Amino acid sequence: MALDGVGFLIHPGEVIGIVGESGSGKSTLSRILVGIEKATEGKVLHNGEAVKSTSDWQKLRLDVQYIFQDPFLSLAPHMTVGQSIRDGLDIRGEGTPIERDERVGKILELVGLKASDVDSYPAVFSGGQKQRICLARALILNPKVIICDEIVSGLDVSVQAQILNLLVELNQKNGVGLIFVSHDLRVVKYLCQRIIVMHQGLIVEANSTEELFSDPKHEYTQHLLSSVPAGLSIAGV
Amino acid sequence: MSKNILLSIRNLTISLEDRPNTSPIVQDLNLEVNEGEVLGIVGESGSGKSLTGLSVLNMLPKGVYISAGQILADGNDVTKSDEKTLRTFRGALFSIVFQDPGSALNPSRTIGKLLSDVARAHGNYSKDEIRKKSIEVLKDVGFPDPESRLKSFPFQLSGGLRQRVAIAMALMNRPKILIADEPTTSLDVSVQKGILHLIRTRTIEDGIGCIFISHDLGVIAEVADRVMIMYSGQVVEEGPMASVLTNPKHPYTRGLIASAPSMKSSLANPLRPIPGSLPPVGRTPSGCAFQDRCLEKSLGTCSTLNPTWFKDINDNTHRWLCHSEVKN
Repeated sequence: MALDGVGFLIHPGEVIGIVGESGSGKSTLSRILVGIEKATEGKVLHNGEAVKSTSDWQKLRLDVQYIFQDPFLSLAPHMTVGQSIRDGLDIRGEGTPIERDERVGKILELVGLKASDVDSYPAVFSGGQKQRICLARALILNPKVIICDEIVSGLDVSVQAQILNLLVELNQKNGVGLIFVSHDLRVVKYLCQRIIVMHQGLIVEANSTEELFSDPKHEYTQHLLSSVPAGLSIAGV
Repeated sequence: MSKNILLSIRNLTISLEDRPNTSPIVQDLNLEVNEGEVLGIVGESGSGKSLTGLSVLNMLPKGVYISAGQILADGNDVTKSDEKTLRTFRGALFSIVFQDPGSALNPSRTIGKLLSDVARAHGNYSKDEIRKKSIEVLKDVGFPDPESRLKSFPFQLSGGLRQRVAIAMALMNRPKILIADEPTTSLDVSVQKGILHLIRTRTIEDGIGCIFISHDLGVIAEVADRVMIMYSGQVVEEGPMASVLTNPKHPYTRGLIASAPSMKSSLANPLRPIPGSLPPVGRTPSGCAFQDRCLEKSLGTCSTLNPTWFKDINDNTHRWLCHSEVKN
């Protein structure tokens, strides 16, 4: 069993962290939320109603976007950045073609790229910039929640901080909710208001970030917290 | 303090073979590693940290070569040794542990076979001797119940245990120098802690000189005595671990610390990222390598003059490469 009796709620505008080590089921859980994988038992509720039919899933995906760990694999190399970002709007048929192009330009600026980048191909961008493009592609559809599966794990530290701060800004200014899946407790602590700790397919502890870190109840959470490299805590900048 | 220098690198420069007009990918690097000491090398992708590690074994990938400098491993100049001599060194005088134990271990050989391969490459041992040595080294790396696991294959072990096998292979012939290249990056945090502790213990108890390479300053802080910060092929700051952490001098080191999430970071005390991105390999700007991203850049000199080394007044082993002496 990959997951067993798992359940949680996310409210509008909330930032939730799902942490766990490899094989804990954190990615499986996040993939079930958008229907990439199907649960053997149990259901996903969208606005309080069970998601069952294909059209239910389509409705859910109007509100929920998903970003993967590896930006190199998740952008089509033969499409320009503009085409990739516009694709969702084209499929939904939102607005006139000119309006769509305008929105692409605006969204690129929102994630810290230039509107003139639309005609470039993904190959010319660095890892951090590619992850910004993936973020733009998710954001253009005005999602209520973005699921981020280890999206900063492959990035260099100095670039990782840029993306984390961009996520904070998007949440605070635009009210986008985030489900942030990560193995890195330091990152989750920084970003999330509430944290779910997973271990061997179970949720072993869920609490507000503050309480989880100041008073971890479950043995596994305590073990996890004590394993985080603490060397940097003496650093003075 | 014992000051037996096991590894010394002088003016190491590594260049690209087919692109003579690009800047070197490791430039004028100097370092020393003492007996029983872990030297941490921190850098982001393209900083040259892994190439520096590989150059100690004279095992650089195709397309890059050592264009200048000297590498003395226990007195032997590695850059001048022929392939035959190098084979007697690798796995005996110095060894390396890589990031991913899944791909570092031959999947078709058992743990016992993997260890005996390493031993037999450097000496004639009887079956019994090898078994004894294998069990001993597996115990040294904290491998539970080694006797019964000699017949296991790598796929039957967890990631952490596989990395312990890789470390056991590296230590089998009791090397004097150990290069650990991101050995915990692919492991879970709870496993990472044990491996860091293991590398530190073996370094001290066996009197090894260890270079520990990582992109994660937090990990280096746990394991290293001294640290070198690399950016775009150059060392920009080096010194005792505590001194560099508590009193970072180079703007890049400061930026790296300010952008790394730690257990004390929160939105009230936000991360301060370094703007921009790393220069592509071979395109280090002239003057200071960090000038385009530096928040403390002074006008003019940073892009025209080469930076110079400054020393900390309290500890002259703590030094950094810059144009201006940092105020605080």
